[in-house]
Amino acid sequence: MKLKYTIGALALTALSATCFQPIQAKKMSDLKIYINPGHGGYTSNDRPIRIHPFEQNDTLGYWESKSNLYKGLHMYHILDSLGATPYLSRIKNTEADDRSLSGISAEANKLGVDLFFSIHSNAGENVNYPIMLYRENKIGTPRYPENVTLSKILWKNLHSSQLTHWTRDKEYVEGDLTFYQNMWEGGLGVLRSLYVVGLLSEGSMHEHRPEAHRLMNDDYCWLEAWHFVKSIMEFYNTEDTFVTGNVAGIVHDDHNLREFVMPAGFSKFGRDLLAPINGAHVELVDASNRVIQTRTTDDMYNGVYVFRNVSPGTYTVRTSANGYYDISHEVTVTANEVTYQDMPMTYRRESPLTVTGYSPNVGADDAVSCASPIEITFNHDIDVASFEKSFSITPAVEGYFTYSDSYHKVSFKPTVAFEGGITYTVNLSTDLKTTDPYYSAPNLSEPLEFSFMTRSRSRLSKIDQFPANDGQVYYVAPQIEFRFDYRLDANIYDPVTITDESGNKLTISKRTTKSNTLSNNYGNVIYTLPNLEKGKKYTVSVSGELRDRENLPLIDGFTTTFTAIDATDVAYVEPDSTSVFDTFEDAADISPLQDESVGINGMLNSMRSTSVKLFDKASGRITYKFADTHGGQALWAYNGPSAQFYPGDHLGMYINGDFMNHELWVGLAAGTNIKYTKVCDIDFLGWQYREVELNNLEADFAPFTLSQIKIVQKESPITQNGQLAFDNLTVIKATNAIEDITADSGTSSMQAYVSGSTIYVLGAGTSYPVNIYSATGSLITSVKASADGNVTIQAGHLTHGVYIISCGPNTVRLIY
Amino acid sequence: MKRYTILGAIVITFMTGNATDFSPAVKLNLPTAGAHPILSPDASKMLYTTDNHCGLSMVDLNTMHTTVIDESMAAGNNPAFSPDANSIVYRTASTNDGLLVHDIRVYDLNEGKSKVKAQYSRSTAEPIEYTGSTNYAIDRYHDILVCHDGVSKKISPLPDAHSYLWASLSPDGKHLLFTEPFKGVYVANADGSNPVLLAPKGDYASWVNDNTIVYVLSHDDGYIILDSSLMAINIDGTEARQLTPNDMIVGEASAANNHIVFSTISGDLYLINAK
Repeated sequence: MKLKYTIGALALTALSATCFQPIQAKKMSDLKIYINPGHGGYTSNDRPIRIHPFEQNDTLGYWESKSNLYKGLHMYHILDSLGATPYLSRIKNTEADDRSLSGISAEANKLGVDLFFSIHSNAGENVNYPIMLYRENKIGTPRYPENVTLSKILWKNLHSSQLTHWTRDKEYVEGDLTFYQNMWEGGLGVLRSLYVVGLLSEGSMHEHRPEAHRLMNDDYCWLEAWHFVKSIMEFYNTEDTFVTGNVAGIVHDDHNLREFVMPAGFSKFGRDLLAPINGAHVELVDASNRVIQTRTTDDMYNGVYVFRNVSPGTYTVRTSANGYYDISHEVTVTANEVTYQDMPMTYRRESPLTVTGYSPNVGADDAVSCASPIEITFNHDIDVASFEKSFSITPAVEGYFTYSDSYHKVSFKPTVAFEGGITYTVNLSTDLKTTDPYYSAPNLSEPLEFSFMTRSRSRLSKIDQFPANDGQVYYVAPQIEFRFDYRLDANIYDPVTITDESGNKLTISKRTTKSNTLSNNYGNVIYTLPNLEKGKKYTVSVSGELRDRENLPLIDGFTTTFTAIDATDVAYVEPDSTSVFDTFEDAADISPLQDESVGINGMLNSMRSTSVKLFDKASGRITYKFADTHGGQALWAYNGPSAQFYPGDHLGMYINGDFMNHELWVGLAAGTNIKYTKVCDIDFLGWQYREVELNNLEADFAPFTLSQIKIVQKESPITQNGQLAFDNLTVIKATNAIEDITADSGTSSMQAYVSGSTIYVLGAGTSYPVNIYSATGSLITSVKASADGNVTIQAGHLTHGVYIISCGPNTVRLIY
Repeated sequence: MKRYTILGAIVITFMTGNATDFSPAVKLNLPTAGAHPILSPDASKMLYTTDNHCGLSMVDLNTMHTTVIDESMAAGNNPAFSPDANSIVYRTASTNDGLLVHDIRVYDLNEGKSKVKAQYSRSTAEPIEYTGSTNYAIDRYHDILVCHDGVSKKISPLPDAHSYLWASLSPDGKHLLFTEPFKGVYVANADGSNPVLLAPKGDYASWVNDNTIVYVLSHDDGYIILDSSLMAINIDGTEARQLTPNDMIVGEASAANNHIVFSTISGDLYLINAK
């Protein structure tokens, strides 16, 4: 049923978003303003920020609820002094002051105020700028355009403050639904049901630590409140403006850094890098040399001073602080404005500049790493230009300087590394000086000279890799590994790029990439790549910037290529359903023979693995750990489904290799007679197919069955731990073995020849399959001839040698 | 046909004995999203404003016939029915040279027309003062104006109160309900004596009947309302209970004659019956 709408007969103008009229000049005393210092109390949603020297949640430290209140109280008093009628949503900072947002806006509506002003600051550690938020009816649509106008005025005025360091100069004024979209429903709670002009001011970023320290200063909060009121005057075009001005600035050290007076850390920019001065005495002196106002910078590490409500005119700002030379600056005060004058002060360094320590500081017989930095510390902060002029090293090394501890410490690091086995000599001349221009003897009191010898190892070296250059990698969940002569630094991603044939960069999975998994401090990195495209070539480039934990660089970067393959395509003979005798779908089928193993550290393991598998759902997996670098043998009993093997049969298996380079053997048993055959070296990572001919089985004892799996340790200091997985064990029968074949027999005209890597068989007919055998009688492949009785076989995977081609009664010999 | 939808997600526990029982919340299918619902004294009609908090509409809860009374700003903020329920008094807001002003308008339900009762002014009284009612209470920031049998008196039930909100008299006129924003929801005798704290936090407190009130309890992070529920409690402090599920964020609420209406901050409106 369609609902019926009835419009009230009285034609009332739809005011909604356009009900506000253009504002004419008026008096501040006309205005009723509701001030809402955001938050309230000292609980988790009152935004405590840990600042020096307070512990987290210390109520004496920074809380947004506290600085919001200070600003609000100042705003109240400024408005009150101008004759306006202000209201405050709270005047204290207790848990009871954490009022409901709906109640605050309801109270503002009830009072019929002209303006609602919510005071906040925002989070953001590494940025600092104001954000003004207004109410929207929907994303992109302001409820009242006046709110946008006021927000823009306020943003401009707050951003004009030079007491802080802003990291953004572009206006940031936004509707609440836009600002909080995809985060919260309903927008800002205090603006939601408000029907008067209103905004929420995020005056700055309180998580930005220098800003949090400033927000601890009462004068700083007052000046923000002064800007609030100035913005209201501008918005309402009031007849009255401030007839006085203000003088504000930061008292700070002109060279020493912030860490000179408090712990370093967190983001800081521009002037905030320099040390603020606590306890500085600041005077405002008029033209008659009368002290008009005084301030003492607080002990909150901000250096803020503000002279409030100063009559227009010319003044001098004088500053003195313990340990610093006095300074003064002339300023001109203008009504309704803020005059900014920072007071950078020079610290007194009235004692000789001396070296308090240096390194490497080793005996003549001791050598240091080629990556060791040269470090020198001083009793004073030093002048950078004179240091770099007075420093020399022989033989010359290209490098760079890093200054820390507020210029009390210098590090020199070679751009690459020191040369190995060289004795270097460092000299520091007395040209070095402090930055105190007033002290009569600022230069280094005594020159410094010291020497050190470097170890012979001067760079990181690659010792192995998978795949080998132009090698193959299974295309699903592919991994590649590089090994080095020392453990790698944590930055294993920036120096490496992997690209496809089109030059597109592959994204390395950082979640599954591993590094430094080898024994005895050898380093490696195993990168996990996204799935690759079969048959495509990929290129890996490792730059010389790859470094080890001594910070020695690789120096000589390298490039390697590989092709993505499908391990299941590589079988010499496609296994049919009868030749696969174990899929490991139901059980591991392998169990450790701990007592028969040699040189094992801990317990051998085996399991059915569903995480590492090639076919279907599971594989059989073994893990081992050798006790030493050599001589170990790890054995497992195979107790899965049996298949009968005869001399000349092949055993095929898909192996998930660990690239530990140990040997994989299988033991086939007939009763107590066990014959061991080496399958391969595990010189690969990921899935590969391997097949071995069982030519040591004795026909008299046949059949044999798979009985054991054995890993024979190859001597190596780096690869003692590993794990392998197996899938789809296969028996390939040596049917029609060589003794049954008489080469070049038969009566037909069947011919075979080779062209390039292709074998052509002509005149085979269509009655029998064409079988190709190795010289030892193993069936390589079996194909059916086409309708014309001819066969074409791609033989690129075959090794060169003698092959026998059989088709029914006909046999020919082929040299490939 | 009534256009109600019962939300299966809302599970209400019916109380037994002397307690007030509450029905499941029924969603009202209205043509627009709404906020600030206000019930008529007999609970047959509901006033509400848009979810943009602009204008005033009325819905007949028996027929679900909807009438847009006014589209002016603030028209839906605290409208009041006359004692005979034949008219609705409300005030709208505008600005005069940038300064906020209110007027008073009266909507005659029989004529379907609004008339301006008081021109725009900086000191307009509350709508309920124009209804002709002789029994009401109005919070006036620092005090409460109680009108009993036509005699008005300013009171401050809490000696150290900062301010008052949502003051109202019980249907029988014997009790006064109000909220002190820093202390909580109180009930007192009609003259303000013997104030008793019912809940340490609560907005939009309203009378369901002479013995039971509802209010909205919300939690926020200083910026955003994180959760908000409709709560009920007897004025003797018993039978406190939550009437809405935790995943529903309630906006505003009001009650009358054993009925409760409330909005969600997404603009849905619901009705609960009490017995």
